[in-house]
Amino acid sequence: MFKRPGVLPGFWPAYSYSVLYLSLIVLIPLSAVFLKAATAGWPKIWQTISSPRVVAAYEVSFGASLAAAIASVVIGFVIAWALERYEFPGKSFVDALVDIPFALPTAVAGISLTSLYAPNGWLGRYLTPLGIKVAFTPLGITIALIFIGLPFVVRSVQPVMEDADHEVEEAASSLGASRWQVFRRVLFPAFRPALLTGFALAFARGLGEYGSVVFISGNLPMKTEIAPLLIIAKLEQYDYAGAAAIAVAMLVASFFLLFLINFIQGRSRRFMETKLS
Amino acid sequence: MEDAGGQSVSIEVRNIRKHFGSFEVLRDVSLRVEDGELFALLGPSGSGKTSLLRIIAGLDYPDSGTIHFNEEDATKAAARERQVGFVFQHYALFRHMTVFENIAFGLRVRPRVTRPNEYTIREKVNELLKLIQLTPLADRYPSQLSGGQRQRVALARALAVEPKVLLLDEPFGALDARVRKELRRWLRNLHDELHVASVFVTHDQEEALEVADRVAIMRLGRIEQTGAPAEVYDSPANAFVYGFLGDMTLFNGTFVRPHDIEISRNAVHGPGAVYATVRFIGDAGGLVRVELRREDTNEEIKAEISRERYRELAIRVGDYVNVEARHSRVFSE
Repeated sequence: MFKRPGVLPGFWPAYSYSVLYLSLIVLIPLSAVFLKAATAGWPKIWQTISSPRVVAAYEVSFGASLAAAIASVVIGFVIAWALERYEFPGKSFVDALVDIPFALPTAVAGISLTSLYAPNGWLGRYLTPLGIKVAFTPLGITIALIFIGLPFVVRSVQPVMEDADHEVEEAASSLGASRWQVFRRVLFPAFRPALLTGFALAFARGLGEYGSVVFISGNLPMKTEIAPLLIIAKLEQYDYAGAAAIAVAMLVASFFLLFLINFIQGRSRRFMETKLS
Repeated sequence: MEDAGGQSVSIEVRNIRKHFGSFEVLRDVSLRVEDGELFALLGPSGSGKTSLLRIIAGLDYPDSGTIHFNEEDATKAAARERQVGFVFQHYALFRHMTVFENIAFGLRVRPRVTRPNEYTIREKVNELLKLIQLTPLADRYPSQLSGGQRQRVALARALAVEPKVLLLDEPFGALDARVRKELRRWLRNLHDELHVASVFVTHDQEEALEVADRVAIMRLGRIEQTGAPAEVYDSPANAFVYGFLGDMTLFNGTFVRPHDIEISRNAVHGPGAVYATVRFIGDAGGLVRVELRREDTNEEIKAEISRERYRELAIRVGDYVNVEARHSRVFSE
């Protein structure tokens, strides 16, 4: 049941510390959420989470996070590729820029994105005549979440690209593969596990994101209201059990999705297991 | 496997020069590898042998000079157009593919018109798996194989595309001594079966002399000598080649192989004979290594004698003996 690898001692201390800190920081607060939700009783919980406004908020949250995570994977992959494969002036500046969303208070990002994309904003004024509305729509939420999620993808993929063995590409091209075939059949499969990790991180971060979204979304009930905002709203009305109920449903769904992503990721990196017999 | 090499060709390298920055890795190198020949590029690290191999493969381009396959100029052709099988020192296997898929790769990436059907691909790969004796491991990933097995997969992968020439970069460099010896004999036999012009790079003179039909000895971007193993060993062109192909010791201002040093208990007789003291005896192995110091000039001399001779002489460290050389060489350099 317990795997004890190698001759180095340290399994039990490592294991005990992991359990202790995960309990203090993650498990106990989370179970408190479950307990709080339970005080409301099952019918009340169901009533809260199945109300049309909450369901709509879930749809907005999961939909926008999913769209943003997919977009982050595509854009993040290109950025990581450019940073790892090419030399260009200002490269270290771009590299540092990638981390900015980690450091910036998310509200600042939300406010600046809103003023950029608002109908009279720098970018919004050109988009509005084209019929593209960004601020106060799900598209705006998605853009805010891409901003937040992008660095996760870049930073997950970059080290794997850095480690990639150049000779493998040479081997493929001397076997007759075109550049596109080298990319599709040799390079991309090697990056896939890291891309999935980046996807999972960006997606999870998007679900929980609050600060940057509330400004750009406009918070129209049934349209651009995200689940975390509803939780805050419930808290402000002292409906703690209701807030906990919304949180619990979100937790269960996110846990299930992350578990699924991990499973897919595990399959995509089967080749890394070493079973020397 | 008679036709695994497809139509084999000769390789000709003419006046190749190559710089990396200000460093000149190849200085006017020319050589010719005949159709069906197994050719070794031998030299110490930094001699330019791997650069030359990569240029032949099209993985690097020369500053000047040309490469010809069967008299046809291939200097500007890209690696993928050259139909060259390249085996890397560190295998460069595709680690997300099974052994089977690694070998099949070169066939699967062919343009649709020339791509064999699935059945033919399976046939071909299974045939190669049998050749490298790894049929039971077809579904393993490279990380689950030993070094020797990986190198065989890399070779099978290169052979699958029926290359016109086969190029191997230090093919056994990363393997342990026993596997190395096994594999190089196996490569020799395989080559005799396939008969495709092959060039391999090595820094191990024993490997080159044992396996190759002909050897080129390289130093500092130049070819010092080219010839059959016996030819270069018996008539080395200069002191570098002599020293690189075997141990040597300096004796009376000339170069001598340690096994050509004669030790005896008699009084000095030959014209070049001298007195020396035994400083060290290494008696593990087929030959006994003896290190001596000359009485007159204090020069160190290395000698190798048979175990039989060693017992007969019964020498010990500190003994005072008579030393002379059977063959010696003078190089003007």
